[in-house]
Formats: sequence, C-alpha cells, structure tokens
Amino acid sequence: MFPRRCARAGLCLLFLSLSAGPALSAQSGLAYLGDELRALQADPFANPGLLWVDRGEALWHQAPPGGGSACASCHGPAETLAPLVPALPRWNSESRRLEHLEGLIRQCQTDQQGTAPAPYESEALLALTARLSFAARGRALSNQVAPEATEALARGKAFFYQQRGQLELSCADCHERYAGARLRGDRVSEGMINGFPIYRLTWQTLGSRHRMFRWCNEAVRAEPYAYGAEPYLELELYLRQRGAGLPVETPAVRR
Amino acid sequence: MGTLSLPLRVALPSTVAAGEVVSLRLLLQHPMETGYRLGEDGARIPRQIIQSLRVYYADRCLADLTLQPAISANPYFAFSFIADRSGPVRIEIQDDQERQLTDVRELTVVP
Ligand code: HEC
Ligand code: HEC
Repeated sequence: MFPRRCARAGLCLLFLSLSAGPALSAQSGLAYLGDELRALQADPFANPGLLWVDRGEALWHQAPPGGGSACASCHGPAETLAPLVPALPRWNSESRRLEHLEGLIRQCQTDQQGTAPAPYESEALLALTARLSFAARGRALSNQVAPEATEALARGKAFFYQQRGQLELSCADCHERYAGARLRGDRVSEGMINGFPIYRLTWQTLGSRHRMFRWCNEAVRAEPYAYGAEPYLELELYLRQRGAGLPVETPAVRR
Repeated sequence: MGTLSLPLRVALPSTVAAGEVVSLRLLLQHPMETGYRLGEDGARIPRQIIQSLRVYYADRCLADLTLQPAISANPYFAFSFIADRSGPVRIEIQDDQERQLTDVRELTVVP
C-alpha cells in the first residue's frame, strides 16, 4: 500500500531518493510513460484519441438538428480557436466566473445553436474538446491570470495542497512528493493537464480533466465534485498556471 | 442485416508499385464490452463486441478474423500484403448484433 505521510523513516528516505520535492521545471505526464505508450501517443495514426479528434472534426462541420448552424459556419476551421485553448480556464468579467473549454462549447451550443448542451463526458463533448485542443497542439500553456481571478487562483492552489479523503492525501502529496514513484502499476506523474482530454488505458476511453480530478479524489476516498463545479474550475486554473510553458499534447495517451 | 456506424480510421496508400509490400492499418472505436462488467448502478453491462473482421483485396480474402471479448476497447489491427494488381480493398466489420460496416478503398498498382 502507498505509504501515508512517511510513517517510517526508511520509507521517507526511499521516496526522497526517488524525488526530492517538486521538480525544478514542470514535466508533462509524457515524461513518466514507458516507451510503448510514448510511441502510441506519437503515432499519428494509431493514437486512439484521434478517433475522437476525427469525430470532433465531423461534428464541427455538422449542423445541429433543428435548423441551427454548424460550428464551422460561424468560426471557420477549428484552428481559428487554437490560441484560446492554452489560456483556459479564463476569467469572464461579465459573468464574473471562470470558464473552461467544455463550458464555452456548451454555452455556444445553447446560445448560438439553440440546442441542448452536450452533457459533460458525452462522446460529443469529448470529441469537440479533443478537436479544439488538438488544434492547439504544441502551443504552450499560458501563465496569464486576470487580476480579477487572483482569488480563484489562490483557492485552486489551496485545493491542490489540502489533504482530503480517508487517506488524508493532497494532490501535492502524490504529484509533487511522490512524482516518479510507483503506485498500483502506475508511475505517478506531476499531475499536469496539458494532454487533456487524455486516452487513458484504465478507462479504455477518452476522459476530461474533471473526470481525472474526480478519479484522483476517489482514489483517496474523498467525495468528488460535479463536472464543471467551481472548485474544479479553480483547480484547473491553478494547474494551467502551474504547468505554464508545457506544450498542449492532446490527445495524450496515459496508463 | 443492420448497418453499423462507428468511427473507423483506415491507413492505406492509394498508389503503390507492383510487388511492393503494402501495409493496411485499422483503428476502430468500439467498447468491446465483455458482458461481465458491472456498471455504476451495479447492473451487468450487456455484452457488445465486434465479432468478425474481414479484409478483401481484389476479391480475394486477405484476412478473416473472429474476435473474442478479451480484446481491449478501440482495437487496432495491422496487415501487410503484396500488391500485384489494382483493385478495391474492402473491410467488413460485423458486431454481435448482426450489424455491419463496410469500407472500400481503391488501391492502384503501377508497374
Ligand atoms: C493517491 C495519489 C494521488 C492523489 C492524492 C492525486 N492523484 Fe492525480 N493521479 C494519480 C495517479 C496514480 C495518476 C495516474 C498516473 C499519472 O498520470 O500520474 C494520476 C493522474 C493525474 C493527472 C493526469 C496527468 C497526465 O499527465 O495526464 C492529473 C491532472 C491529476 N492526477 C491531478 C490530480 C489532482 C488535481 C489531485 C488532487 C485533487 C490529484 N491528482 C490527487 C494519483 C493521485
Ligand atoms: C451562430 C454562430 C455560432 C455558432 C453556430 C457557434 N458559435 Fe461559438 N461563438 C460564436 C460567437 C459569436 C462567440 C463569441 C461569444 C461571446 O463572446 O460571447 C463564440 C464563442 C465560442 C467559443 C469561445 C471563443 C473565444 O475566443 O472566446 C468557443 C470555444 C466556441 N464558440 C465553440 C463553438 C462550438 C464548439 C460550436 C459548435 C458546437 C460553436 N461555437 C458554434 C458564434 C457561434
């Protein structure tokens, strides 16, 4: 079992030698993968996440039922939204809320297409999120945070360092202190978000950032938040800033 | 027989030289549900798998595979064969609900 709070000095030393605190510079989860999965992610044909990218491209050009317009008819090619992706989540000064990519897509479906928004984690929403993020491949995650979002950012950071769940572990316990260590067959990475949505073998499908947060919350037996919930948006904002400079690598492949 | 509509990626060159080894790669989005897993509500998730995959080249059968539930979701397949004449490469996929998907690509072989 995973050591809790380095109860024994020996374990502490073991983990310290594996990873001495936070890494000097942020590393993508890609750096923690074995050769086989790295090759799969890099394969421009066989990366399974590309199935969703393809579907997203088709949806982008498809008019919704009920006479609305296709995304492409207002926005042009998906690439036009590429600069947006590495700067999300961002602060919306009108609604005075954070917005992330899934939320913006759903909002456009409601306001501009006059359809019901695709549910979180539905194939359609994953596909569109994957398509737009794929367009941003290679662009560096931004560290820009609007002054109005400073408090949200601070709450996101506090979330990251707060111990929670029956196991009383924080995100940082696993993704900073134990980054590089093995946990149930996984190598724990730094918990970066530059590859999302990711194709995760454990899930055998594509999953969003918030699905990952929920999974990590459940891993320590903490109650997960709902998709799109404020605390997760704040966490997502903090993680974007924490990983600033990392290239978008959607669709990443992970164990 | 119903039609099956699934995202399928096919990699096949369109023109090759006679005698060349051609590679055909397929990636298919399918849950390959074993029928043994329990869903979040505790109920068994019904079995849903791809049952057969056939590949024809210029009307000759190149591959005839029967798939098992143990195959992981979103399966990937790679085949290679020697190009000796121009003709269609036809991919036929059938699931356990008797639904079929057919994808045809033309392969041109130049001497
Ligand atoms: C008990 C240890 C543990 C805790 C606590 C934990 N995680 Fe994770 N997390 C994992 C494991 C294991 C994985 C899968 C392997 C990997 O990619 O690191 C993972 C993966 C991730 C990833 C995907 C990384 C990538 O490259 O795709 C993100 C993002 C993430 N976690 C964020 C978080 C956040 C945010 C929290 C706090 C809410 C958290 N984790 C808490 C163990 C943990
Ligand atoms: C009828 C035209 C129209 C359609 C159709 C449409 N959009 Fe939009 N979209 C807009 C407008 C206008 C904005 C800017 C809205 C605003 O700033 O309030 C926008 C904003 C966005 C943004 C945020 C862009 C930014 O830079 O702030 C995203 C992401 C987006 N749309 C995605 C989509 C997707 C995905 C679809 C298809 C499911 C879609 N849109 C369909 C008109 C449209």
